Amino acid sequence: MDILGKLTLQSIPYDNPILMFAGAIMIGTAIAVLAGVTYFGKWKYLYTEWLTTVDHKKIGVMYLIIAFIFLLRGFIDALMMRAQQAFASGGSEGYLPPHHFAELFTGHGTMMIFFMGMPFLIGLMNIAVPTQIGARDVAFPYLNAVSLWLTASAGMLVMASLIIGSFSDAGWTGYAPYSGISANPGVGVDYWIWALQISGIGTTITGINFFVTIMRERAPGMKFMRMPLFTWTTLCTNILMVLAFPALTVVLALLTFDRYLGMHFFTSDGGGNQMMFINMFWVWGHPEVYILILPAFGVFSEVAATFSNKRLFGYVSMVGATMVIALLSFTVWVHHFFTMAQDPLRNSIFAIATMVIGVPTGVKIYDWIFTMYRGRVRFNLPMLWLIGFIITFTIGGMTGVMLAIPGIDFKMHNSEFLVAHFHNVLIPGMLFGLFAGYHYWFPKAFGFRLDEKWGRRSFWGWLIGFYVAFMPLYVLGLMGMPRRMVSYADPAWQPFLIVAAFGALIVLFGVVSMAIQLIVSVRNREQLRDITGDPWNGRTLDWATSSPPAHYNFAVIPTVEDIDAFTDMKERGVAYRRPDKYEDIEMPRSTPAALVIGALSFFLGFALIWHIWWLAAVTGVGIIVTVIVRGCNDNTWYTIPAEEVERTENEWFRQLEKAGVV
Amino acid sequence: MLRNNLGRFGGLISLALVLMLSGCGLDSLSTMSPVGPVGDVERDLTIFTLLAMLFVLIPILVLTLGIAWRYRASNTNSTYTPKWGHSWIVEMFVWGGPIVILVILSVVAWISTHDLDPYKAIKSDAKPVHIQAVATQWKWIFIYPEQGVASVNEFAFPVNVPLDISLTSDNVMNSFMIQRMGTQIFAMSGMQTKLHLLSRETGDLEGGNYQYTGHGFSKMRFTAKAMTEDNYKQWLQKVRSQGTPLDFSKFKQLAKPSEIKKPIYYSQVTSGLFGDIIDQFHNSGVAASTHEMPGMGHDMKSDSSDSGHATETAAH
Ligand code: HEM
Ligand SMILES: [Cu+2]
Repeated sequence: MDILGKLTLQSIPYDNPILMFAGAIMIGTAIAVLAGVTYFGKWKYLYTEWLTTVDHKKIGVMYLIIAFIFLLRGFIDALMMRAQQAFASGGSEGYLPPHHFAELFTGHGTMMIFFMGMPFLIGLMNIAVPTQIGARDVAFPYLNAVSLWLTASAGMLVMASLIIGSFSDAGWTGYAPYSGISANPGVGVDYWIWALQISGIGTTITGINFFVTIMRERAPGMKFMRMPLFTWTTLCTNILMVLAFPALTVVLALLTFDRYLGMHFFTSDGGGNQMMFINMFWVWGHPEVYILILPAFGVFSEVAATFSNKRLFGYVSMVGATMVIALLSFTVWVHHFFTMAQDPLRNSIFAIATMVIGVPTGVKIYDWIFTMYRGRVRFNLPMLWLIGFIITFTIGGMTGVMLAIPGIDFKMHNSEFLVAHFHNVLIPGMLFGLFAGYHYWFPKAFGFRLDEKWGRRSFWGWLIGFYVAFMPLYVLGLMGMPRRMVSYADPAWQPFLIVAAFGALIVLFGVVSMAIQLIVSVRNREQLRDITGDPWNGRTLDWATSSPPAHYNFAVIPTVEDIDAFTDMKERGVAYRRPDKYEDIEMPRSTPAALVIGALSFFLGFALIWHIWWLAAVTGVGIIVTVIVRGCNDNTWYTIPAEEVERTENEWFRQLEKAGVV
Repeated sequence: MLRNNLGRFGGLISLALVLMLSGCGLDSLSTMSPVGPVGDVERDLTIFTLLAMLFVLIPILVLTLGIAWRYRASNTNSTYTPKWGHSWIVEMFVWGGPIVILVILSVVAWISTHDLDPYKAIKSDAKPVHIQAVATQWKWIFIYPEQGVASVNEFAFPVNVPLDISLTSDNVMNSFMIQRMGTQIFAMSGMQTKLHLLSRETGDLEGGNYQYTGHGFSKMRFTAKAMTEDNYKQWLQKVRSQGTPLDFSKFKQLAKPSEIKKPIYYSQVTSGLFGDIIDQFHNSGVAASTHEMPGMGHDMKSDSSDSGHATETAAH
């Protein structure tokens, strides 16, 4: 069966009941969704309004959907690992075979970073940044859709690996030579490579797109030093994406040459250099953690000012600190392998560079605190996430500084201490920020607020669960427990792992509460309706539009005169001004091209993973043809006539009048 | 010099910390109850940094909770300055504070990193014991080149005698550490890394691999037996009498993926076996020492053939 490359019936893991069960749930859910769409006759709506859209707000929503699906999958993997380690002590092997456990930690790490974190923050960027800078869309709306569908198709590859073949077992870092062809001949690593490669291209395009958007599309008067902080951190993040992702693309490409063409970039023999893999991976990898965290920092800056009813403290410091962090993030990668026997001079330099990043990060934390000082702090949910973040993240930063000192890292490297540390920065630093942003911008995206009660429950579940699940891992690290262990002999470790598993269950309560929150909010959407478009007494332009904003965001592009542009407009009494006359608005047309490119990329990736060369050729050519055909289409814009704009705006102003705002 | 200062300071504060951690106590934390000089410095460093960071953490905790509560919206008695967003004094303090701590920790990091260089021999009057550790899937093989013996997943050495360990791997990347002795180091195929340790106390010390290497990774643990000189001699005797010969082809047999439960002993190890294990990855005809490693420059007094720390030079 050459026509199917390496793919055979044996590629489906019939013998693994857990995988078959998970696969059945996944396929069942997919079928249920498709059937539902058919039953309610929504295919046309779905196709014209969502699948082919280039509207940044809808693209943002779809990114969030991807993020939540993978948050669930990544979290289920985490629960399974926690269950395994809680039992597999002193001779017991637990319920998972080692290979399956390895796929779990690899899949969990990969999904949480590439398919939960990245889509989540890019989704928030899409929802908030264009409105925040007073633009009608991003600079390249069609490319924006391409990024989305590349991310989705890469995510589908990860999903497919569940039931066709297997996923990588080489850890989310995929260190060579373990990920090389001689140690790892299966398709797992190839799934990992192509999923990262495809989503990485999508991310790079997003980086270019938002960089240009922020540079070129700002409303008149929005000078650099008047940009909202979320826009600033997005800008820095996008610069990092553009500069860092090529390193990942190249290191994966070289690994691909090793695996597919028998070359020797990272092999043990033939002059390969495994240390180069680690260097190149982290040249991308360390900036990547700031790509994940900076947007969340931006959210927190918006939240701190808004819910303290006060100007952000130290705007200039905040901007400066963000830029310093972005710049320094390229100078510290060696701290991921102090134990690779560099000389002490090199290790010390990278240790100090790492600790230098602590300074701007510390400044940001103090600035958020002083934003609350002499304010009027409203404890809405985003504010709770902020306070939970400051406290928890500072602990993570503290252990980060410890690990930055080579003499400490020498014994903590690759131990559970490290696992505790990076969850301790990623969960508060990234995830809490994204959750805060989700609650904060949800009314903007959907027109109604999220239920606060279930939101609070979710917050406490995550916060308490985090401490219970991860503080024991610090102790385990100090007890010498390596990471990634499927079973262990030392019975002294077990109590801590049982506590950690219990903590994961508390987090589960948080996750479930979040799902309930969504359901309850949809049901009560009339009471929760955001009539004015400004539910939080917002300070930036995103709150100057209706919720959800009209397709064109702003009928008249606003003029900015202050950092807190919207607060300033409200105070001067020029918010919600109606123009004498509306004008026609040009908007980008929907296109199926991005969806087609995404679908073809999925099959291209699949074909390359399974060595189905004819399919790779067909889909590869298909992508090129689609790009060219779309490129030749000059009819990509359409006009919204002034009358229609006026009608839409009148509708909103009627609501504003009813609410007594104007 | 840092050792002593940190040591004195660390002595005091470890006392305080022991009280704090009274529940578990440092003894149950293997990486915090060192048996030798390397681990001592690393423990003191850990405690020192932890305390230094508490100076940062505690004010932030207090400020965050205090300010958030004091300026809650319902407390209308508190001052409200919605336009206040800048103060030179506060800015000086928020930049200055972290910079001071950074400078202190940088000095500590610089000195301790040089102190703890794993390539640096430990000062002692005793003649060091040479050990060559080879990581295979999923066993550790310890070769005693001078004694001509080897053992698997167990090795012994006399207390108060420096260990001079060379490491390599037969396949993928591994990482070697004995928690209570301190300092982890990678073992990489086709290359040699080095590590110097010493134990003051006798006892069975637990060690293992810290870098994931597949199926048997979790079982890739070993025992480092720190013994009195006499017991060490007896142990060598035992290995000699129970062991079978080990040459390169038998080594490759042993190196095949497997997990073992009991230690294995070898007598009459072919001389130069460690070098042969490294050289198997280098094309014959190319002198191994010409493989230059990028960016690892290190002034190695003991080994003039290569400037890198992780050298590809076969051990001689
Ligand atoms: C609260 C939910 C979570 C739980 C219970 C959890 C649990 C775990 C566990 C048990 C491991 C394996 C530890 C080991 O190697 O021994 C792990 C690894 C990891 N986790 Fe999480 N995790 C959670 C959330 C997250 C989040 C939100 C992220 C990232 C954004 C994340 C990123 C990672 C990464 C990168 C790894 C390393 C994977 C590897 O070893 O290759 N986790 N997590
Ligand atoms: Cu890093």
